[in-house]
Amino acid sequence: MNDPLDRFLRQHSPAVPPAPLGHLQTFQLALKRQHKPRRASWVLGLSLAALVLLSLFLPAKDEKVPQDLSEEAFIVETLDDFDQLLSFEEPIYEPY
Amino acid sequence: MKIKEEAALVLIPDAIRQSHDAFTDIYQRYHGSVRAVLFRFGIQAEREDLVQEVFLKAFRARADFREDSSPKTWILSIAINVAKDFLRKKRPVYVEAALETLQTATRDPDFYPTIEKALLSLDLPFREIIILCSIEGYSMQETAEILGIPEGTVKSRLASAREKMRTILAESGIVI
Repeated sequence: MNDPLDRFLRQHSPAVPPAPLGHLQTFQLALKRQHKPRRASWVLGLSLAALVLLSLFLPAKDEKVPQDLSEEAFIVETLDDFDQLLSFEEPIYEPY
Repeated sequence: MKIKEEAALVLIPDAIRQSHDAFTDIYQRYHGSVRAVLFRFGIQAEREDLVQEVFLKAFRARADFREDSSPKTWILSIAINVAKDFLRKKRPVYVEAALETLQTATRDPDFYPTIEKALLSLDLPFREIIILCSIEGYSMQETAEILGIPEGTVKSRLASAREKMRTILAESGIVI
């Protein structure tokens, strides 16, 4: 590399600024953080999966759970409602 | 041939593959070289972030490190790629800012802005050759390893890059 251009460029190029204070510590911290996000995402993923499973198998607190979902039970319940309609008593209007 | 001497240290490849503490040693050995290359590319404000990025990338890719290559050329090849990615994204704004900042840091206020302007106006393949071979003084073999190209290509590209630099400098009245 004895080209005159190379010598000229080296001679007139500014010196490289020194590294800032604490650069090594910054790097060490960044290096330590390399694994943390992975661990955090792993835990987060597992927690989310557990929540989804729970929500699938456990009913919501306010939700009314039907006791009997059979067709017979449905008919009986409907008939009961019908009886109630039939037993509806009309108000007696007294004549003026 | 300082790189060859460093590559001869048997501990380095092991350290590269080991955990955090060992990799800190790699950082301490080569951060200056990485910083110098990024500086020669004219990267100013973001330089320190990029130095960190280079070593973190190297840490993540440590399993890919090959025994037959030099740790320094491996780290510098990552640095060159990081610098090029950065320049591709930020070039239009960056050139003006870099020139302004570099003018204050120059050793010779008459020459350096012109040199830097000439350097920044070169296409990246020529600029990286001038930075590595002409300014930082890496051999053609080392430059070939860093850039991942054949030595013959380095030789021909260096000749073209010097020619282009001479032409640009001559236009500003600097004849070499």
